[in-house]
Amino acid sequence: MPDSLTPSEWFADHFGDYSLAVMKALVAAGQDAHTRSLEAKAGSKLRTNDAYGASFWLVLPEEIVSHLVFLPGVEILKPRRGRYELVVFDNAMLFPSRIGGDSAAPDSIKLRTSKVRHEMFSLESRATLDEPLDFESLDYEEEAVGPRYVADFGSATSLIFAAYDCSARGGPQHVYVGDATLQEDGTVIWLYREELPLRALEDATTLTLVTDDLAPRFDDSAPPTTTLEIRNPGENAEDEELADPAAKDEGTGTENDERT
Amino acid sequence: MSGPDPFSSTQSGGLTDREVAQAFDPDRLRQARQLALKTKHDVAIDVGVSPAAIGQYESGVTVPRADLISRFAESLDVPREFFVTGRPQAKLESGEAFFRSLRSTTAKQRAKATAFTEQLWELVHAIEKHVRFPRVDLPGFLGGEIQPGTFPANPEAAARALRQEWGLGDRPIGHLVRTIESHGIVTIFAPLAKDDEVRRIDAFSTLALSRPVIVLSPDRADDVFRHRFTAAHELGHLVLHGGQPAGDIALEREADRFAAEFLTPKAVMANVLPRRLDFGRLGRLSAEWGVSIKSLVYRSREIGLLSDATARRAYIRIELLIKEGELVNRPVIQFPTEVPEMLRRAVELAESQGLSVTSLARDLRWKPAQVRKLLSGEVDERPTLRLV
Repeated sequence: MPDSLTPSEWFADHFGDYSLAVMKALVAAGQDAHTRSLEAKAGSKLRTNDAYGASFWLVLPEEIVSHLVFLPGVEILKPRRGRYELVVFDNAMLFPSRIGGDSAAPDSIKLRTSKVRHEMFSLESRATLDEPLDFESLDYEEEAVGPRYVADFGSATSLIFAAYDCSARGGPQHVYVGDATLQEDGTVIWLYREELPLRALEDATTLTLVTDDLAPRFDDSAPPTTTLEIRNPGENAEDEELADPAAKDEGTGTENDERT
Repeated sequence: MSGPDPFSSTQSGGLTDREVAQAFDPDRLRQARQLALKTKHDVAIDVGVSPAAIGQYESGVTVPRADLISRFAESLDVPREFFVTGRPQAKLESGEAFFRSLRSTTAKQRAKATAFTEQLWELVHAIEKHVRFPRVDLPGFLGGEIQPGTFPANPEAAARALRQEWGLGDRPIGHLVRTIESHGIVTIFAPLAKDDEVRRIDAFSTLALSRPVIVLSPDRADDVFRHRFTAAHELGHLVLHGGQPAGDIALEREADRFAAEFLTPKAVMANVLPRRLDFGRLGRLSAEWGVSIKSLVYRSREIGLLSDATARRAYIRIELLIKEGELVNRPVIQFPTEVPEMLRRAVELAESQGLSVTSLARDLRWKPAQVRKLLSGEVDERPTLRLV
């Protein structure tokens, strides 16, 4: 396995044995979101990238969910009247977002702000609070009509931010993943960040999650021996310990490899 | 056995119905009826008498007429000689046997299972005349109960005590059924699971006979991990509940606790189980300790390594993986040391001395198919030759 495909400590801490599979899934999700958004642009016959952008923000979370659903115990949150689903794995919520244009550089990412986005980026600090959140303002594109609704973030107590630098012309260029906070003005401050090796992960056609043929098996040890003997002519079973418990110690006993 | 056996193998074929009726054993009628899962009313219809008459025959108040003997034999699928008294017989009440699927079994089903166990004891007794079995190596076993105070009352402590007694240390138990057999406990696959009417019976055990008996029914959920847990559960009953009346759900839970500690000792598990939901690691531990992933999740929650909410998510995920075919059962038959073999091996050994299934059947007054059924755990499915 190339070094670039060796999961970092951060990934191992968040996804354990599934780290490599998650890295590949995140890249594949971005690629598939790009492909579908390009199809939307082609279908619209618009020269501008409006259709591409309008599709990508909805398609990306959908692809993330479909690529990460294999994770054991994964939680999929779809807030009532929400526009897309989010994945929670091992108490961490994954929030993907497309970056581009002036904010494409990882240290100058700026997101549109909303109350919910600030709450999401502050999950760790609110983990002890018991206050339901509303998802109404989760996406700025969503029409804010109808009654308010409430939802929570399931078991999530922390946030993983995945930033996709992707354009209609160039496709996915960079994918950054890590821990981040959101400033009042929408600036993203990374607490930890790493960039996924796109090409290496795209080329990794097969990933082995757990293959360890040499792993110990419960039946590796030698089985115990059950000693059976033909009785001598005239020997009476009823004279033995079963009829007379006091004579139990005179039995033949058992040779058990595991006792020695 | 008390008194001379009036029906030696050379005579057994020549008994008349009158002779059988004269030596009629009421309890054999009850046993055969329960094994056939028939009510007194059913048998009464078969043979053409009243249900009350059947009750009188079974209680010994009256003796059936000679002309009914063949009809009983036909109705209950036993040889006519089966009803003759004079053979060693175990008497087991259903309250003396512990049933794993307690809530889903009926009294009738349990009666069949206990009648089956009575027959099993007769088979073991007959084989032991020819072959010496391992001594029963269950501390405190007194031929019907465990001497009080031998094991701690706490199921986990009792499991640890038996592990120590059997020299199992803190290692995974590689061959559970073979280990149980090697300590003189009769273990057998019951052919009950192929019987639609009693397939709900998962397993049962009893300490009430001269040898402890564990009866397993692997067909119900043909998975070696579940099978091993069931065997450990029944072992728990033998260790913990000798002399206590069966039927209390609390005893079933205690047997579960025994099984969990016996198969996966807490002292080891607390150090090896992951502190987060890591199915890769759970899968490896499952293979290493011979228990299901679900059981390990349960254990993790029990030990306090996983929260209730995380465990719930895990169960949901496990069910999904099973539905998707990602988690598959491992058939018990693929693990030979988890398949009971002591009785079969004993008969094979005795065959070298001239014993055969046919002669065993003749001694027991059973049909040979019944002997084969108990030895193999399978219903006799050999083709039947029909003369036309």
